[in-house]
Amino acid sequence: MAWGGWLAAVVVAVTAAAAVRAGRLRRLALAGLALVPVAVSSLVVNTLLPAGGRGFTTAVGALVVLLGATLPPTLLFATTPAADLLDDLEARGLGRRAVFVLGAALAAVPRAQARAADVIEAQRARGLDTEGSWRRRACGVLPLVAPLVIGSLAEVEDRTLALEARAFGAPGRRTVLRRLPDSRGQRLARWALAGLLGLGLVARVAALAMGR
Amino acid sequence: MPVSATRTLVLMPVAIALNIALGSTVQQALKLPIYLDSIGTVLTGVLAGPIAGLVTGALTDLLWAYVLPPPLAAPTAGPFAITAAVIGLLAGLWGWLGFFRSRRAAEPRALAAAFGVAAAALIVVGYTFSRAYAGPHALDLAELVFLVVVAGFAVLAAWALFARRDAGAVLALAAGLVTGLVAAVVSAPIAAYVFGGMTGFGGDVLIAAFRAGGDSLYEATLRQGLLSDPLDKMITCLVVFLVLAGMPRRVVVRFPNGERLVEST
Repeated sequence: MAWGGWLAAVVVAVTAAAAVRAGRLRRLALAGLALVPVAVSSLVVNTLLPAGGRGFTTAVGALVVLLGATLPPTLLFATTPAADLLDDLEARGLGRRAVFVLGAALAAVPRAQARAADVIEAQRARGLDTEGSWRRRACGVLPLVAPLVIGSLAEVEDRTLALEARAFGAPGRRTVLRRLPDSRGQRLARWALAGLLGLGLVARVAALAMGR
Repeated sequence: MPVSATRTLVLMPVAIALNIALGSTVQQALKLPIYLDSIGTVLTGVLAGPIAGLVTGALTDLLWAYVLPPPLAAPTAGPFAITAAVIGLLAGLWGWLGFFRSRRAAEPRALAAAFGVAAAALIVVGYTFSRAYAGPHALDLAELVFLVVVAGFAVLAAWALFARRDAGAVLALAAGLVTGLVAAVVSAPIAAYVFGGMTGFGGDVLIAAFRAGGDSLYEATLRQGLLSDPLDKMITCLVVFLVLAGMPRRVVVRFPNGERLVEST
């Protein structure tokens, strides 16, 4: 396994230890399980195919790198409520438009999921075939998508009027009423992580420059 | 801030949620080999412009990968945020150019525009495939499926012209075809170098087949993408076109690109 793989393994181990300490190991394990199809696919192709495969070590290395890239942000959002994170980012200068888009998107996903489930049930009740031949299922794309899109655009209109009535477009910064605690230890940890990120980038560029 | 800017800001999170709902719930219900997870991105780009489309596409994949809890989370989506952003950017360009406007097929100008854009798109497709599938290791199957993609475009364009009598749908299909090509080209290095070519979907079998045929990892992921993305984005663009064509004119014109999307009366 290349040095990048070992580094990713260290990141995975540190993230797992932090998850145990925060009591979020189950959430992290579920995120890892979501990568099982990739792992199986990678292992089968790299170990079983005679010409297409690059071996077991390559497959494991790629999976560890993927875990290293996936698990830290998963742990961040498993331990930090999105609303707290957005409030703090706004207090640190992130524009209210960006905060609104992120916060509203997270709130909109469960609503859209529920609406999609309702539309599927309603169209099935009207005779839409979602289990038949591919041609019949393809005919179901528009009856399922159109009500969702049109319903969503109607929601856009309602929300726009509601936001405008509450001076969303008014100039100037909003006053932050809730400040989250930020200890010296947390600040030091953030600077240390930023330093490690910089070092990692320099090492990567240097390795590329040396042709490794 | 003008009201249209607020409307765009409200549209973006709604479109992100739409992408995720369509890409998970509806895609699973229909069990078709198309993603359906770019409809909100294309809709936002077409209605509100390239920057709104770009942001919507990128945020969809980032939130889907890292923020949403299991079982909704899709960890492999994160790096493909770049592809989604490019799709949104292109959709904004197509919307600004008026490619998603209904045009009566009986009008000679509309018909000429449809044939011109379709011919240009097919030339781009032909060139891309001749480059991507050149060489001694290309599979005959890939060329066959490429012909299926072009035939799909021809059938859908014929349906638009002769059954729906709308030349505008041909422009939307051509936009989808080109968007699919670009998406495949942008996705290929991500799939190859971030995931080692394996993303856990059905396309992995094709990548393995191309690799077994002697292709490099990048060539294999590019060839697989060129078989699936153009068809998917064509259908996505056609669906968005049909939904916009069926929407009240007064709703569409309120968005920044709205005037470019409705027929002049």
